[in-house]
Amino acid sequence: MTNPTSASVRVQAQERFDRNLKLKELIIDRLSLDRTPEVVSDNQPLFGRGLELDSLDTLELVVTVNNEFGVAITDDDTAAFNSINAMMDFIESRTTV
Amino acid sequence: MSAAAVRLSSDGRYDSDAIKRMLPHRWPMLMIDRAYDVEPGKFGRGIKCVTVNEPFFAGHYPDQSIMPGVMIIEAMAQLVAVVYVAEALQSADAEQFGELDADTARDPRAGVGYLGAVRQMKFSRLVVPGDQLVLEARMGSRLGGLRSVNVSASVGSERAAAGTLTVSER
Repeated sequence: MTNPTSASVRVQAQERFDRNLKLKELIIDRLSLDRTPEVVSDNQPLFGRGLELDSLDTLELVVTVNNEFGVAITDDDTAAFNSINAMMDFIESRTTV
Repeated sequence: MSAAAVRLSSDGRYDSDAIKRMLPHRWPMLMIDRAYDVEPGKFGRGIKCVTVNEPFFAGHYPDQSIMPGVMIIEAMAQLVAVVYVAEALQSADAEQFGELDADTARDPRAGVGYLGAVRQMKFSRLVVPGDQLVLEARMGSRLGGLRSVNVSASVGSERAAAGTLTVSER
């Protein structure tokens, strides 16, 4: 029943899921958060009632993303902190040729 | 030029008198004796000579003098403040004011910020009276008023401490 198109979409979705999971693991590890990647949703805010990060955590996140992905986040890119998806979109937009 | 004015150093060196005009810290909490190789806003090295007369040795410990790790971190943070103030002096130079003055609203000491976080600090050697701590600070990522700084302290060829500080602008 599976046509090639839906199969490739599924592969892409799985790859994105894996990348998001890796990013969540990275954030949890670097910020020593007391939760597992599975309970962090892709669209929940990183601040406030989401992951409850503060401004000091934000800078640590900037350093981590720079070290791991070679992507610099500046004051103009704060939309990247809206969610895991937003962060991954930002990283991919700066790393894909 | 008033006695309290401080200028951007052309060779990146600041002696203790210049540092006292750059930082608000005073005895017993002024923890840096000299700064050199200072690249404003980017990098700097500093020296803290540790003597048996340091007040913290009276209690840390009465029978064995060991410089507390938090005091090493404080010395590192003060070097970071010097690198920061040098950047402010550089901007002042660029604006052709030339110098910052303790008698005016442009007192550089007013810009010295706060320590926000200490991350992954590792202490690998005891620091004792007679040691000369060579401090190093390299400024990293910046976001808003916060900045990440890689810092280290060595005695001779031995690493005494290294880690990352997050500092805030005031």
